[in-house]
Amino acid sequence: MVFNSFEFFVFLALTLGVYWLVRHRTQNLLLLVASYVFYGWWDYRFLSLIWISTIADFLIAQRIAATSIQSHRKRWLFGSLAVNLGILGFFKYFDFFVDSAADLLETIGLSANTPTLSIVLPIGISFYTFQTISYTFDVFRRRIEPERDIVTFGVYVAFFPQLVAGPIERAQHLLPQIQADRVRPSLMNVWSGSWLILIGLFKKVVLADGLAAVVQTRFDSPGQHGAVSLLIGVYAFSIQIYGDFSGYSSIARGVARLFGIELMRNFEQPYLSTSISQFWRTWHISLSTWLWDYLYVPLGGSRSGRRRTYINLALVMLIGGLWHGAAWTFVVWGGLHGFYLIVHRARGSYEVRGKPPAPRLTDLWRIVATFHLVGFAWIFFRASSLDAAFEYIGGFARLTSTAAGDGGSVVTQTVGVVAVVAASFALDWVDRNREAYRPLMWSPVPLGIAAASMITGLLIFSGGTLVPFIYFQF
Amino acid sequence: MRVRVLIVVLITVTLLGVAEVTLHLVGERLGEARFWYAPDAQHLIEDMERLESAGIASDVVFTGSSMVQFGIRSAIVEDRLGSVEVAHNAGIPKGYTTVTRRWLLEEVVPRLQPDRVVWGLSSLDFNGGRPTPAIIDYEAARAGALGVFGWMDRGLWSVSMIARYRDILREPSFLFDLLESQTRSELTIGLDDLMDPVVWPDVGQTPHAFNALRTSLLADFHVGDRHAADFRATIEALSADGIEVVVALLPVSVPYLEAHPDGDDGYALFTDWLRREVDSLGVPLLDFSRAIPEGEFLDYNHVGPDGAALLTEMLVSDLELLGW
Repeated sequence: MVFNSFEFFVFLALTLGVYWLVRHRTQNLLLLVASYVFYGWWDYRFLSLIWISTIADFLIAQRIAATSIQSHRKRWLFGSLAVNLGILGFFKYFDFFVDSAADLLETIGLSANTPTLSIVLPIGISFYTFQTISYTFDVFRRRIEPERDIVTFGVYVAFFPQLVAGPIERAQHLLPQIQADRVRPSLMNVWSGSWLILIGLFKKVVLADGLAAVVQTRFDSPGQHGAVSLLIGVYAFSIQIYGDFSGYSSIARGVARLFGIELMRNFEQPYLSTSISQFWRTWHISLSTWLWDYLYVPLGGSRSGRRRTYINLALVMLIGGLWHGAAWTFVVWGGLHGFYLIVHRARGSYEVRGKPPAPRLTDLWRIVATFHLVGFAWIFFRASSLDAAFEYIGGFARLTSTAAGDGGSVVTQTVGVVAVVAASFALDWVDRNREAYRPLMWSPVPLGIAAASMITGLLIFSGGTLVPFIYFQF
Repeated sequence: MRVRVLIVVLITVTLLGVAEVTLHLVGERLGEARFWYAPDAQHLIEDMERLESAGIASDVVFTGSSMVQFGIRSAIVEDRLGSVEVAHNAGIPKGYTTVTRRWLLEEVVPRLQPDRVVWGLSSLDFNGGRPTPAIIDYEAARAGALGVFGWMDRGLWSVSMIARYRDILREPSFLFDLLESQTRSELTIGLDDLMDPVVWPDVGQTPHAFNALRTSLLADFHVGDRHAADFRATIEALSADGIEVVVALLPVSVPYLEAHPDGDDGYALFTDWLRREVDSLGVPLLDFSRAIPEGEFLDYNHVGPDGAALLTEMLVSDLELLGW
């Protein structure tokens, strides 16, 4: 079931209707069942993987807490990692590693009859395994007490608004909310939750899906496009993936708020970043902070000298790339970002954690430069293979032809993409400066105009083939 | 808070109402609102409805993909085949077996009430390896959408002008076309001219078209399970209704065979399979695979006006031999 489908809204209305009629314990039970229905709607067989993760981490965390002997605690922690990373490794990376090993053998003149299993990737597996790993890690680090109620813990792992594409919540933030009695949401909460859903749908259906065809034609056949057209394709994909993913996160937060639960912000206007480091503090925040806390810091972070810091940065970004998908394109994408971060660090630039300040006009060139660096890396993220990515990049040398090749005129598509990019930046600008714009944002006239515009956009861009969220594949 | 929310809702509804009224006023100038997945399918539905309301049923209907749409001239069949007074061509773009099953059984047969159906096909109609199956487009359109969502989407068509003209409004260029568009209602077409192709597509044998044939239409060619099942089910449903069916294997060019995985051999495997399948269904198969000279093809699998006339003549002769 996906957020941008009719059945989801029927499911949401039914679940919400019952949810606010029952007591706390039953609410959690209902959330658990609803979350399993939501997930099983796609493929019920893979529910068993969620159950394995849930039960394993529920029991292991209690074992960790029950002993003060460090070696025993470590052993249990490795047990949890083995279960979660084992599931993730098998279902997401088995074929990739076997294929890559076969290719490697072939390049040195050996042929190997390697088995590949054509394994179906369970939706959202990267998200919920990282979430359960963080829980066990936090119990191991004595940051939190283990959860004693399996239903509460089950909801923590499988809470449906964020189950398949995040945000990857931390136990310290989400578990207490599930444990506590929920207060019926105020009109204010219902209103702001509904706004988040509307904005999320607008970002997904209008901005992201509206650009999907422009992106697809260029990445499917870059050879038929000139430099300008390919550049439009990069801009379009930059906004498509942002609209798609931040739209999902926004809907997830809005839906969770209707259930009386607050999820973390996953994006803080990343394309207004003035550096690559700031970009990673504002893009997919729940993953970047996860990688920071559970990988970069344990590896030594920046505590062991400059060289080690660079190695750690590169390693974290390569793993971050591979987290997105089992393909060399994602490894290169992660590697490129690792390189950017190392250069940034080598120039002696540092960023402060948290929401970045509002950019000034003098920051404009830095924003533009960062956006283009990120956009360049997106080519590898979107391309179907490394060859395809290099073919796309090679196309920038074709300055003579600007053929669109997909039925729409270049002018129409350029106008469309520029309009969508402008709309996306405008939305982010207002969001970044939300304190300053608060009086305007609470004035009924601009709110009414914004709502009418978004609903009109949804009416225009809805219907047709349902475009799944890009991050579902991760 | 409550009053503020109420005012916002009121402003939103008012603005949406203004947008609806505006579109209502200029809607006719925006062009043809899309209900079907392809304009040709939409026009055929309009034609069939006009025929149905005029009480005109078909003696024979030709069905299949654009290869039928542009390859068979129903007017020639009416002229040449004594047993046929009224023939209609109901071929549609991307009308592969999965699409034709729904199109023919749900739309064409109830409206045209044919006694006989000639189903023109080639290997691409059965390809289960296509990266984007045509049935997805068919079922994504309002007319073909299934279930409650489809029902709601069709409901929006009559309620909201914004939703009705959404395909046009998605293209910013609609603003430039606003004053120039001609609506279909302004065109005058006589009943005799309905459902017979008059304009052939402007295509050709280009590297791009050949690449599309190889990487899309014939990509990873194999007979798809659903394609085969839908083919079978359609013929069984037609036969159960007492409609006589003939299957025609349509002409393809030499490059088409070359684009086929395994070339001629791969294509021959397909025709052998089709022959066995058609035999088991008890319907005749007419093979025109290599019947048209290379010069008569518009591209790789569509014949031009002269090729269509030639193919139709040959089809008429074969149908006469079958006792039609």
